[in-house]
Amino acid sequence: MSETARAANLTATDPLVLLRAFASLRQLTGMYPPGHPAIARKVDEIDGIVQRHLRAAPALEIDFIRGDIYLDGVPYHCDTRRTPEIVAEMAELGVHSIHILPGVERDELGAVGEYLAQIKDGESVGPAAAELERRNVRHVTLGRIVPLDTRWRAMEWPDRPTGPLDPDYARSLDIAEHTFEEVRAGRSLDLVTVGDLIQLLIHRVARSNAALAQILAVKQYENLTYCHSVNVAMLSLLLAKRAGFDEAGTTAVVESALLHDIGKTRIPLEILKKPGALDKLERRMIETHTTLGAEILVEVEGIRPLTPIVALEHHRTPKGTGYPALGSAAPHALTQIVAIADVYEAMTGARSYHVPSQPEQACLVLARLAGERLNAALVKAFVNTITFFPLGTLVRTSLGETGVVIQTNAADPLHPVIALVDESGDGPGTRIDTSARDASGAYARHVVESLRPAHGGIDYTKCFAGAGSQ
Amino acid sequence: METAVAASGAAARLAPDERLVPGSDRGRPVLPAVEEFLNLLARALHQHRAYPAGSPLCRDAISAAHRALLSCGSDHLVLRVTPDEVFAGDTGIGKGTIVGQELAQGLHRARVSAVAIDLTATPRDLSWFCRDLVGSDRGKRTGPTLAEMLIEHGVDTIVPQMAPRPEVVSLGMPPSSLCEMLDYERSRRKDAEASGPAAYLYPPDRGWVRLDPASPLRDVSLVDLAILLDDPNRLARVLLHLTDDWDGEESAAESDKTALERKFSDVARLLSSIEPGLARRMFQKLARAVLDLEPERRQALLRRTILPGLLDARAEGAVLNDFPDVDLAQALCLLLDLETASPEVLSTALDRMNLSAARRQAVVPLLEAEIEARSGRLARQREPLDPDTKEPASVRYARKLVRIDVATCDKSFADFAAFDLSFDDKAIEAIADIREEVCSTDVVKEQLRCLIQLVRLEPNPDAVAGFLARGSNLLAGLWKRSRFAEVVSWLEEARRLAGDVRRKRPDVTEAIECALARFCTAERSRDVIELYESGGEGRTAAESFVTACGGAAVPSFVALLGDAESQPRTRALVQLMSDHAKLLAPALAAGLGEMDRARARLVVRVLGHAGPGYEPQIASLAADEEDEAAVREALRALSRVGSARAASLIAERLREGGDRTRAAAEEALWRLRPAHAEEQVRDLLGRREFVQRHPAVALRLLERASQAGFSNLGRVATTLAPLRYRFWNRALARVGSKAREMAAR
Repeated sequence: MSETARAANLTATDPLVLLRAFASLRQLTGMYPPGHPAIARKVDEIDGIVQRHLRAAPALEIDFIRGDIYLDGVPYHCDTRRTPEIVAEMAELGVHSIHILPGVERDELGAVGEYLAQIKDGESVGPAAAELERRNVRHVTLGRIVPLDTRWRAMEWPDRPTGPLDPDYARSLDIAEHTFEEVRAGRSLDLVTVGDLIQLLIHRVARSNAALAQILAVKQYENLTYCHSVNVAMLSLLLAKRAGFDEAGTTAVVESALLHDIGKTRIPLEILKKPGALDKLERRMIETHTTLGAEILVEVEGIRPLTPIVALEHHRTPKGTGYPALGSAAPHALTQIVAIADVYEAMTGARSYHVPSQPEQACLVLARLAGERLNAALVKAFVNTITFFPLGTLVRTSLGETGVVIQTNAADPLHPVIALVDESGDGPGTRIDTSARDASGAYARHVVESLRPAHGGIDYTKCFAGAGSQ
Repeated sequence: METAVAASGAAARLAPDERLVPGSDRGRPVLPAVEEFLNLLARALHQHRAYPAGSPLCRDAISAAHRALLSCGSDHLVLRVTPDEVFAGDTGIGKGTIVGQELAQGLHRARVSAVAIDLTATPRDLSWFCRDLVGSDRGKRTGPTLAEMLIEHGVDTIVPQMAPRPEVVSLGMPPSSLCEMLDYERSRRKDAEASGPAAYLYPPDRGWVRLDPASPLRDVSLVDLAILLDDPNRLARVLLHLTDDWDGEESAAESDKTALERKFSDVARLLSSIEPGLARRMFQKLARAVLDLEPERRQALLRRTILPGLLDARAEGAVLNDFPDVDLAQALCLLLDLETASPEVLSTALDRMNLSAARRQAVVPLLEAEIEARSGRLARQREPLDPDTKEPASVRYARKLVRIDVATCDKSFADFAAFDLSFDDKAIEAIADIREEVCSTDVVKEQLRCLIQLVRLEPNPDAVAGFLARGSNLLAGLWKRSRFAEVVSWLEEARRLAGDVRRKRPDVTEAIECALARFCTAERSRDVIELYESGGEGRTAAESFVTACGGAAVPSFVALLGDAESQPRTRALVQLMSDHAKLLAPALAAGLGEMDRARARLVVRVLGHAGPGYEPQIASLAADEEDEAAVREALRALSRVGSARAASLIAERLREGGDRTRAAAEEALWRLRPAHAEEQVRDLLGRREFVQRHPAVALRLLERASQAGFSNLGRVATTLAPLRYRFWNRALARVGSKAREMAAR
C-alpha cells in the first residue's frame, strides 16, 4: 500500500468510535453473561475496526495525553465537545492508552472488555499486564500515561556585571548595549558610535587594570550579546597586541570582535539563554546568527571589509569544520583570533547551564582545543599573555591568604603579585609578590587555588587603586 | 537582511501564543473571503500534485489564490488543522470539499497543527507552500518537516506549527526492587536539592511515561527515568527523541548507537546526580555500552566527549573508571593526539581519575606499552633537547610553569604541564605568519568570498540579488584594474553555485544567472574581445570569462554582433563565440527567433560549431529564401554540425528549396561526411519526383557520387537506368545513361 493510501486509511480510523465501543463492551460485559449476543456483536464491531486499521498500519495505538487523543503518535483533532466524556470515562479506570498489535484475535478483545468491566466493579485487581496475561491477551496492552518531568535546576545570573565597574568599561558597555538594541530594533548599525566605542576600548579600557580584571576574571553574569562582545573585543585586542599587530590591524581586530555576534540580535533571547537541550530547529536558529551577522554587516557602508567575514566564520575551525558549512577552507586569521577570545569569554562567563570556569581551567580548555578547533600558535600566545592566573583572579595561597591578582609575572607565570582581600572580598590589603623566596631559596608561598568570588563580586576599582597599569 | 526576516518569522513560530491564537490579529478576517482563499489555495495544491510548479496551470492557480488572500482583510490568517477541515477562529471550513480533501488532510498528514499565513505572502511563497506540502504530506516520519522546508526555501510569511510527536516511554509495571530504589533516591534528592529555579533541561510536554494502570507512580523525573530504564542506551534514545534529534531513517540498532554518542553528556550528567553507590553501578553499564560501540565510534566519542570531560573534571570522564585496564590505557593514549598535548597529559588524566594505588600500578605499564607502540609517531614529533637539562623545550617550559616544590604544597600543578603552551620559536614564527597574512589580505577578494558564501547560504532570492549586486560593484573595480583572473574566478564560482542550488533553490539560481547577465555589459564584452585579440594571457583571460559566464554573456555578445562600433571586431567575437559554441548554444538558440537577419546569420555560424542538438533552429534560417546569405550560412552551419539530422535537413532544402537554396544545399551536402552524404544522395535519387523535377541536380549528384566512389548506389542506379529511354527529355535521359553506366560498374 502506498504511503498516501496508508495515510488516508489512518485518517479514516476514528479513535473515538473505537473507544466508545470499548466503553460499551465494558458495560455489556458487566450486564450480560459471557457469550451473550450483545457482547459478541460489540466484539465483532471492535474487531472490524481494529483489523481494518492493522491492515494499513504496523499497530493501533490510542493515547490520551493531557486530554488530547493521539492516534499512532499523531494528534487526532476531533469534535472537542465529545472528547472529554469518553476520555474521562477511561481515565477513571486508570487507562490512558490502548495499544493493539497485529495478530490480535477476537477473543483477546473480548477479554479486554472483561478486564475493564472488572475494574469497573471495583474488584481488587493486580497489574493490568498480569491480568491480561492471565486471560491470554498477548496483543493488547493498557497503560496509564504520566508526564516525564524534564525540569532541571538552572542557574540564574544577572544580565550584566553588578557592583562597581571601571567607569570607562561601564561606559563602553552602555554604548554597546545601545548599539545592539538599535540593531535589534531593526535600525542600521551606527558606525560612528561603533568607531567611538572602538577608540574607547583601545585607548581607555585597555589601559585600565581594573577593567581588564573585570574582563579576564570569572564573570558572574550571563550576557550573550553586548557584554560578551565588548569582552571578546578586549580579549582579542590583548591577543592582537601580543601578536604585534599595528594600529590599523588592531583596530580591525577590535571592530570585528565587537560585532562578531551582532547576528544574535535577530535571535530571540529565550532561545539564546535556554538552559536545556535545544531541539533541531532551535539549534538551527542559533547557528544562523553567524550568517545573519554577516548579512547585517555587509549592508553597512564604511564597515571594515573583514568584519562581516569574522561574523560569518567565527564558529569555524582551522580544519574547516564548524558552522556554517562553507567548505574545507580555514577561516581568515582575524577570525581565528576572535574565535579564541570568544571561547575564553564564553568559558569564564556564566551561563544558565553552567557556572563560569576559572581562568586557569578555561586556559586548559583552550589548550585542549588547540590544533583541532583553535589555532595552536594563537592559543599559546593568548595563554602566555593572560597567564593561568590573570589580573583579577581571586586566589588562595599556601599560607591561607586570599588575594586578588593585581600583576602577572611573565618570568614566573604561576607566581603573580596579589593584593590581599578579606573574606568578604573587600580590599585592597597588603600587596604580596608570591614569587618571593625565603632564606633557603624556596618560595615563601604558592598560589594553591583560584576561588570563586562571593556573589557580590570583587570591587576591582579598589583593588587596583594605585596599583598602576600593567 | 532577508534571512533576518526569516528568523523573525521562525521566531514567531516559537511564540504560538502571539501568532497562532485566533483573534490575536489586528483586523478580523472576512470569513467568505477566507473561504474563497482556502478554496483557491486547495485548488492550487491540487494542481501542484498533478503538474510542475512552473506550469501555466499551477501559476494561474497560485495567482488566483494570491488575489483572494489580499482580500481577506486581516494582517494574517491563523488556521487550525483537523483531519478533514480547517478552523479559522471557531468556524470550520471545508469539510467534504476540496479544502478538506486537499488542504486539511494534506496538512494533517504532514503533522501540521496550525498554520499562520501573513497577508504579505507573495505568489512565490504560496507556490513554495504548495510544493513543500505536496512533498511532505506523504505521512512519512523521515526527512525535513514542512516548517523546515519552508525556511529552507526562504518563506517566512507562511508559518506552520508542527504538532509535536509525543515521546511515550513504555515502562509497564516497574519491579518492586526498582521502585524501592526510586523511593530512596527521591527522598535523598529532596533533601539534597538546592532551591535554585528549575528550568527545562528537555522540552516540556514532549516526554511521557506509559505505566501499568496499577502502578503507584504519578510522575517520573529524568533521574527517575534513568533508574527505571536501567539501560544507558535506551535512556539516550529517549533523550534523543525528546529533542527530535532522532532521524527516522536509521534502523533501531543504528539509532541506539548514535543516540548514545549524541546524548552521552546528558546521560552522564543524569547518572552522576544519582546516589553514588547506585550511580557507580549505572556507570558500569554505561562503560559497557561505550565499549560495545564500534571502534571508530568509540574513539570519536572518547576524543570528543569523554576525555575532554575527564580533563575538565566533568561527569563524562567518570565512565573511564569502569573501563578495563587495557581499554583505559588505550583510551587515555588518545589524549596524546591533541596538538598541544605533552606527555604530562597522561599523568594529569590519571590524577583526575583518582585511581587506587593498586589500579594505577596496573595501568601504568599498559600505558607505557601503548606509548611504546606509538613511539614511531612520537619520535617524528620529538623536539630538540635542551643542552642543559637534556629534555625537550616544551617539557622544560612545563617544568617552569610548575616550578613549585610539590612536597611542600597541597596542590599538584601538573595540570598546567599537561599541554605544551610554550611560546617557542615555532609559535613565534606562526604568529609572524598570521600577522603577515592579516597585513597582506586582499580585502576585495575576501569581501567577494564573503558575499559568495552568503549567496550559498541565503535562500531568499531578493537577498541573494542584493549580495550579488554588491559583488558586481567590487568586480567592476577589479575589472577596471585589469584583475581579470580574479573576476573570472568569482564568476566561475557563482556559476557553479547556480548549478549546485538549481534543484533546491531554483529562484536563487535565477537570481545568480540574472546577476551574471547584468555583469556582462556590452562595454565589458568589448574589453573581452580586445583581450581575445591581444593573444597570450589576454586571450586566456577572455576565454575564461566566457567559460565562467556561459549563457549569461550571450545577450551582450549578440548586441555587439550588430553594433556598428564593434564591426571591426565582429570576426574576433564570432571566433571567440565559436570556440565556446557548446556552452553558448542554448542561450543563442533560444534567442535566435528574435534577432535581426544580420545577427542571426552570425549566430547560426556559431551554432554550427556547437555540434548536434540545434539543427532545427539552424534549419529555420535556411528556410528563409529571401536572404540568400542567411540560407548559405545556415546550410554551411548544418554541414559543419555534420550529424545525420543535419544531413537530412540539408537534403530537405535540396528537395524543396528554390534554385539558389538548392545550389547552396548541394554545396553543403558534399561537405558532409561521406557516409551521411551517400545516404542522402541515395535517398534523393531514390525519389523519382525529385529526379524528374531536378534532373540536372540529380545528374550532378550521380557524377559526384561516382567520383566519390560511393559504392551503395547500385540499386538506385538500376532504378534510374530506364530513364535513358526518355528521348523527349534529354536531361532525364542523361541521368538514365549515367545511372546505367554506374549500375554496369
